[in-house]
Amino acid sequence: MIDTAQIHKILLMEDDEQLQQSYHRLFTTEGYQIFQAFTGEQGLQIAKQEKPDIILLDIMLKGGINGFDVLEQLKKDRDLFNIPVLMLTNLDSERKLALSIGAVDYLVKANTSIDILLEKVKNYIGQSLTTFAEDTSQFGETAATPTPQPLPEKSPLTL
Amino acid sequence: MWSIFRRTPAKPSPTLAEELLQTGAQTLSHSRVSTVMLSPLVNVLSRGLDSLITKTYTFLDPSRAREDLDTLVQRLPYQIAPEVYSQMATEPTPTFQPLYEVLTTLSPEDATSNFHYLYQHYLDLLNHHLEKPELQAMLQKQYLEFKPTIKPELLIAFLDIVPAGYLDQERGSLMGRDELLKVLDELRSEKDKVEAAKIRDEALLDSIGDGVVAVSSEQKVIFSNQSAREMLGLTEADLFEKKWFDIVHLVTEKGEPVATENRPMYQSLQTQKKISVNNLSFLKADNTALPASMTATPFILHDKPAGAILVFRDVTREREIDHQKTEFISVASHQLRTPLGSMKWNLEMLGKGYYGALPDDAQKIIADALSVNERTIRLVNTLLNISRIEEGRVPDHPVETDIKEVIAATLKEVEPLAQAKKVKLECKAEKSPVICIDAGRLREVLENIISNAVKYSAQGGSVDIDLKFDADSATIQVADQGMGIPEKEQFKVFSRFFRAENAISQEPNGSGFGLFVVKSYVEAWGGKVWFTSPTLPDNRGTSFYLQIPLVPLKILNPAGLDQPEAESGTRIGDSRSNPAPDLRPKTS
Repeated sequence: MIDTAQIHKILLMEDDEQLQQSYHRLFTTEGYQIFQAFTGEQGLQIAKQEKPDIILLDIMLKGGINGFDVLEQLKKDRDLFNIPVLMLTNLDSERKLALSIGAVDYLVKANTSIDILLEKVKNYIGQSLTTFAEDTSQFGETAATPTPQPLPEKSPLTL
Repeated sequence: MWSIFRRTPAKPSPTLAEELLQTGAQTLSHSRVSTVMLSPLVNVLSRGLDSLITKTYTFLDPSRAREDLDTLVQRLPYQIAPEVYSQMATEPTPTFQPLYEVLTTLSPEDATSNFHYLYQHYLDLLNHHLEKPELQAMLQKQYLEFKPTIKPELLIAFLDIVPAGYLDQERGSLMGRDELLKVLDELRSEKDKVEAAKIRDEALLDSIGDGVVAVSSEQKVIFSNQSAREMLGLTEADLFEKKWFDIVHLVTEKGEPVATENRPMYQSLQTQKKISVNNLSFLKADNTALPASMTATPFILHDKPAGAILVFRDVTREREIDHQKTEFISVASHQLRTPLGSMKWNLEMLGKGYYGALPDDAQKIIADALSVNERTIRLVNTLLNISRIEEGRVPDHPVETDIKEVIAATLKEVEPLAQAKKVKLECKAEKSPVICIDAGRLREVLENIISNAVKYSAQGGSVDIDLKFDADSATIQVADQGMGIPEKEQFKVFSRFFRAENAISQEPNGSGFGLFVVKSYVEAWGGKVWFTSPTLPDNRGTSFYLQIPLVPLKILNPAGLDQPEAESGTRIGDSRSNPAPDLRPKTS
């Protein structure tokens, strides 16, 4: 369970600067260490370096890849697949897809209060995701060092 | 008899018969319509001819007429209904008139084969009565010559007039040439009338912008107007007498083919009801889609379903505008949500002291700002829902549902609001059968109606909910003792943005969307929603009624409506055949 002595790391992938500032204030006040990314590429890089305890991920991001692409990359990465990813977005029609790719939850920003957000973040941190080993077929036999997957073609988002 | 015919000139009066046949043939070639459309002409033909044939029998041997009729009827491959037969037999002189009428209602193939039998037997009878093989041979020869072009109507003329004409030559005064000419004139004038009417109707139908296509009950095209052919990119030859469902195909808005049994024309032929559809497109000859609104209406002749008429209109522009409008609302709403959400969090954080301590009176201001902010978010959410309803993208997930339980859950939700206004909520429900419906949406519907009833009740009033069932539907009545709906505003209750004047003054914050959403959902299930107001003597009180079929309609085009999420699902083509593992924690 959660080790109270440890400072938990949150990676925020969000393209809105003002919102990033609010996140920053909110989560640092609550005692988390914050890493912020405005693009998916940046976010994936930070994820690899920092191994955050949770990732809050928007669907619309700056840069060439969107939140779904990021989510897929994370779930295909042996080192990162078990970091819980909480989708935090203003699109409300993508819940099913996001959950099917492996997000732990899907929150619509405007419909979520900060109390709920904090509670969810707290709950998902530290929950171990161990089901990866059960289905390695999609990665072939090179279990130790997965070959980098080509980025899936970016598709238009449905509002 | 033999000797009489021997005196007959070699070519007695073939011109007359030919003339008649020619008239018939012209009529047929001009009309290009099936037997059904020709029935007035056929009636005239057979009326004139029947009098001739009756006289023939009178002249030959009246006592044989009834017997011949019986034999004839028995020989027909088509089973004649007893009532038709008795109608034929009870006339003072047996008449074939009802028989013609029956035959004209058959399919052209059946009618023709019946006429062929009729004809053959007629020859037999002639032979029997007249013992005149030359006549028979001549008739047979003419018959064979005309056989390839024979249409039922023509055959009537042929088989009746020709022998009658021959007999007339022999008997002179009994049936004069004049009488035949009179019949011929009658036929001509009837033909002219039919043609004039037809030209007028066609000109009328060609001049209108809507497409009009008529099919017979065998689904064959019997008429198409110019607009229809232009819109579909087909010629008259492509369509006429072809099976409509083989020639013209429909697709959904997503371009998926529509099965024949889901097509409005087919459903109209099957159910004998008028069917209107607004969300399908024709697949044109060049494989492009033509969005159309279409209405199929069955038509009936001789008390039998005879076909259906499809009227359709090109709605490309309307759909485009509609789509743009919906798209605009959708985009605008999402754009609005981002700042609203950010505002919400900042206000919450401000209120909770994330940015430091605040003076006491600031809390109230923040609370007020938050409540306005949340109301605006709700409005934006509703706008988004509406744009989805209009795009037909509302997901419908029917599950087995106990309506009573849904009502109970809704009442629990509305209870705090009711308590605040000291409104009593009472529910009377019959034992409820399980129905298959989207429970979430049903609850949304009930919440709208019941919370409205509470909102517009006076302090201390009561709201009564009543659930009843009949054989195929459930009816929920929600009755309040509130302010009622002013009569002059009743007609727009279910339209978007509607808020009654007296409601605005009491409850200024409603969005005016609730009942529009209610109506959209309920009608998608094939149900009905209506209201009566006032229900109390002093202009107060409103009762809303929801009637939901026990087997709610499967929305047309289920593939398109079911999953708005599915659209973006195409991007992960691979993971659909090989679904991503469920990595969600089992405990969450």
